Amino acid sequence: MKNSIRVERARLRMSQQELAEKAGVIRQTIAAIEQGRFNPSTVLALKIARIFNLTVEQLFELEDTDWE
Amino acid sequence: MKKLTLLSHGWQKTGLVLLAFCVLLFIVCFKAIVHDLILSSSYYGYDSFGRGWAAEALVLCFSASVVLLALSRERAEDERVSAIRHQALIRTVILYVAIVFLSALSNLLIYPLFSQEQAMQIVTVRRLLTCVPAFILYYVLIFKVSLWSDNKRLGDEE
Repeated sequence: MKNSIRVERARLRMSQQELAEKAGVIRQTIAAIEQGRFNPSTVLALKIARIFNLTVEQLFELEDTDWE
Repeated sequence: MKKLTLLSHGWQKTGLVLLAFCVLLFIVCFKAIVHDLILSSSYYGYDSFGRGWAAEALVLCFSASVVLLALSRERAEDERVSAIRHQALIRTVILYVAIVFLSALSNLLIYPLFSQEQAMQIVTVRRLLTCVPAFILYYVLIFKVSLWSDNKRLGDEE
């Protein structure tokens, strides 16, 4: 699953730590999501999207490999 | 994601203190413990009946320490850490089954090479490696290593 969290963070000049604190997770979890190493739960995806004032679909995008 | 029900992080310290006490006890009372847990094995394996206080204390403290270490949360616990816990549990089951299989196989292979008494002691060592506290210890080790390596791979903030 692709996501544009890094881009949105850069746009708002927000650090991973700041985003993690707002979303109620640890910094490594945000790093793992950005790198595509961890897929967040629906609740966490919604929280992150709301922090950026976006919808989940605007922030996260399915890849072909997700259907396999 | 629903949070796992776990003890507070402070219990990890209690678990570590108990584990340190076990190591100390094992070193200080090495002879008595080895005798009670392994050398006095009968055909029916090790028996708690008639075991000395050192072996008894070691079994109790070790069991309590691994349970506390396994069931207490990390300093910062979220859904990624919970996912690592689940993955560690699956890996532990695979490792445990492999240990049970290999130890049973090795018993069959080496059993004829030893006397009855020595063979029973080997069986007892196998039982110690496959007992429930040992399973929990494998889980704790796999989980801690997985979490440490995952955090290290994610590195510092970019």
